[in-house]
Amino acid sequence: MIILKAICVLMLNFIMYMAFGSFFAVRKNIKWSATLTITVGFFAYYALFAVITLPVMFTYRPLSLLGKIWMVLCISVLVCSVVLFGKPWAAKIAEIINDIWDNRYFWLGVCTVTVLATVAVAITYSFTLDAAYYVANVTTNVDTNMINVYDPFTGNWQDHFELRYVFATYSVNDSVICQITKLPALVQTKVVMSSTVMIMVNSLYVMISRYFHRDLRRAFLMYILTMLVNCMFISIYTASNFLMTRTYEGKSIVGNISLIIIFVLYLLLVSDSHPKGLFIMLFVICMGTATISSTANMVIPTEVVALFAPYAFMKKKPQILVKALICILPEILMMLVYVMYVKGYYAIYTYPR
Amino acid sequence: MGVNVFENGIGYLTKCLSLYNSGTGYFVMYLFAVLYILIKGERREKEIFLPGTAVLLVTVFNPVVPLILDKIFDVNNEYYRLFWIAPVVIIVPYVITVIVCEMPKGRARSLVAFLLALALLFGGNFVYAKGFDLAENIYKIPDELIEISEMIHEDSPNEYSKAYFEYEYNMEIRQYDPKMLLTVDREDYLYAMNYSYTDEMISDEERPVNRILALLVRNQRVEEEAFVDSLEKTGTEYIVLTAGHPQIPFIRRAGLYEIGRIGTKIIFKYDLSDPSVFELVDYSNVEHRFSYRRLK
Repeated sequence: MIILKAICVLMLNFIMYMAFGSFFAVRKNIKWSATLTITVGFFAYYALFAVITLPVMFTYRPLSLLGKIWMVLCISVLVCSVVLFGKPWAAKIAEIINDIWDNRYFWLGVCTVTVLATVAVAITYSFTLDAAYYVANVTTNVDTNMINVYDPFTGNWQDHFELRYVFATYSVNDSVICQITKLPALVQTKVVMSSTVMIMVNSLYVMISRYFHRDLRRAFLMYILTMLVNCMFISIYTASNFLMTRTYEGKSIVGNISLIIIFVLYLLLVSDSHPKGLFIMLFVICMGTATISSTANMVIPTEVVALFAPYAFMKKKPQILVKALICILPEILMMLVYVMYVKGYYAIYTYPR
Repeated sequence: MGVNVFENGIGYLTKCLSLYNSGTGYFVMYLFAVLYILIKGERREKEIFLPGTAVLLVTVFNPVVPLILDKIFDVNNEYYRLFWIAPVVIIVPYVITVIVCEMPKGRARSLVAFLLALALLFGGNFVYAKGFDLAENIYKIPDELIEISEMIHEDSPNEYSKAYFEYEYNMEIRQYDPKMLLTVDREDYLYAMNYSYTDEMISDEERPVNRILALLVRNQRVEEEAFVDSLEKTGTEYIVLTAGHPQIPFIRRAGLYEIGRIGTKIIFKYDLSDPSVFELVDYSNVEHRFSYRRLK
């Protein structure tokens, strides 16, 4: 029963990401990418979730209230999305089915590798210290029906919010899902979210491989090699290690989805036919990433500047640099908030006083 | 990460990179891939891969940058995450694909493909090199820990129980069971795993947890009375130890008794003289307003 429920939540994740992402990446009568839509939708989902969560959390309202608000919002987004984008979705599904049929050996290989990688991360045991915070935070929130008020390590009540983690509301979303679906926190985090992340990462690799190689044999070779590199480039610090062993953590998402999708947007910018609203998508990705892990505050601005600044100079288009800098504002803001907290400028209490 | 900017100065970056790579050759392959594109790449490939790499070389991979950043943030343990920006997992496979596929079919191509495959396989550390550790259950924690949790809750008359666990179980139990309160938090445990306690720390009345950790982790000498007092002050009712732990005779003498054994673990109980029942803070009637304090 738990496994069945986990599979349903996994599928629901992708439906929701598609619904959220369609507002940014789907344009009628213009070619659009399902992978890009789902990935942008993933970040839009978490960005909006943070916007809803922070006021609820800082005014000491229960997790169950957040769950109700979020459920209503998700249903609304889904309904609007189906109404607005139902036809493009149907056309895309037909296009994907045709593509799979026409290139069945390529897709058979891709699906085999993706399923193997997903099953591997879903069924392996790995001990990590950080799970003691992230996963225990989910169980603690669900048990206490409050948001980040109790210390996940011990269960004790905290006098003030731990601001190092509190703006990264990614794990609060897991708490909401667990409360609504009654799925155990360990299954939601280490099975459902791990699988979600692994499938998304593989989709991005396929997208990149096909971007570089029209010949599908070449594309498949490149795709296989990216997964091989992820299996081999292992030390406790590499993004590949986070992907393969700590898949569900926010850091893993930053290192393996955010950085890659920003690179994909750069690839699309460099190509002559880049999609409309590219910088809006970049903004959504940056904002969503800032709510997933505080690691984003350091890594994302650096990558955006490293990719987009030289391009703006080379093409003599300063507006590209300005747009890119606007996109990283969420990270800059979060960095300031965090630095001021660490330097002891303020504290946010977990009880009104 | 265990490398300090202040101590290592300009050498921090090299040490950080060395730890990051941990003997793998993938970063070298990344540099070779960039070099390949610089020499043989087409205009579009150069436009995609080279500008970003150049910026990374003068920023992230510049030994002076961590020194500057460290003045603003504590980057000691997190600087390595900036290395993730280098697209190793994209550019290395891309260049290998191009090299292999653009060579004419024949022995030379097979040999090059074979050598590159060897470089990828032997230039890294396989993620499952130490074995594929299959989870015992869907919760991905040991079965033993689940049984221990059940045993403690069956024994305890209260909804919440407070316990001391050994390191790994201490870090895992609350991921499964939020009704298990813990005597020791993560930072205290990490300290105890790495450092001994001074006499001053052991006698610190404000930190009874020091005595518990000094005895049960560091095997340092602690008075029986002081240990019992620490259990009382921290409200610890249960202690879970591996059978064969050197302090088992001590804790039996201190008045703890065994309530059961599961697998390799023994669960001990201490009867608190004044047991208090843990209750959640009541938020039902609070004013729902933002409350913060300016400290500076």
